[in-house]
Amino acid sequence: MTGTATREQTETDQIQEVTGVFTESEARQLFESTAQRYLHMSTDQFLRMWDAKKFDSPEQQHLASRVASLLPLIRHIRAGKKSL
Amino acid sequence: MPGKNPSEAIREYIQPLQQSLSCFTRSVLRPSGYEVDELLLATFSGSRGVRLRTRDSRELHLVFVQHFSVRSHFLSRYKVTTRAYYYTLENQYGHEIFAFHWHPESENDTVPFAHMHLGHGSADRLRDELYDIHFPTPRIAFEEVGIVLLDHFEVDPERKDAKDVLKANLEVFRKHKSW
Repeated sequence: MTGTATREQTETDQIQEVTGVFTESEARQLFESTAQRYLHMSTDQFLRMWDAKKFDSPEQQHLASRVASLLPLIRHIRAGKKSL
Repeated sequence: MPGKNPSEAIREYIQPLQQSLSCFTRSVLRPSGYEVDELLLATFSGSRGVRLRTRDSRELHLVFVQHFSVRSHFLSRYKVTTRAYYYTLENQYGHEIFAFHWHPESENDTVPFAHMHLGHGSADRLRDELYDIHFPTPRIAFEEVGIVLLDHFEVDPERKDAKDVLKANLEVFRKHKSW
């Protein structure tokens, strides 16, 4: 079992090296800085408003869509929160 | 182009995009993951995208985001399918000049057709209704936006053969697109 785990870990490392996959920390940071830049709010604040569809004006909705374009970056974090 | 495994499929997908983007930046396009059947994205590391310079030294920013999925293909191979794109040009203050979008599956912004937005970086004062208009467009390739940047915004390219690279990749894209 240890051998399998090691091999999987090595393959994962190679994939990350080859394709430059965002780490979880980098992904969180990019999402947070984008939410702050466009809407002056944190990731948590953004997700609460986005999920409640509380971006009302066309301009706010447009800026929210810009931030939401990065949602796949934090899908693990978001999935974890939704399942709580 | 299909790959033997998900990471190879992603490399095949990113390589021509990276080459087209290399006409404007040395930054590296990065995927958010490599899991099969998940909604993934490719973008740059900075929240302002990448900085561009025009021939008269004005500063612009290009934001590039594509959503994609890796799916199993026939004969045990894997293929990437594009699921959304967001190509945005901003001025030096971070105000949007234009944006080309296609995001038919977006959770809260369900516009089923490809479209273009004009933003307040494009004028001193934008009419209010323009914020809400999704101008319909055909589904486009990034290379078409790149050619607009060279021809009309006079962006100073990172490489001398930029126009040729964009045209060649656009040709390949049109040949292989499945829509």
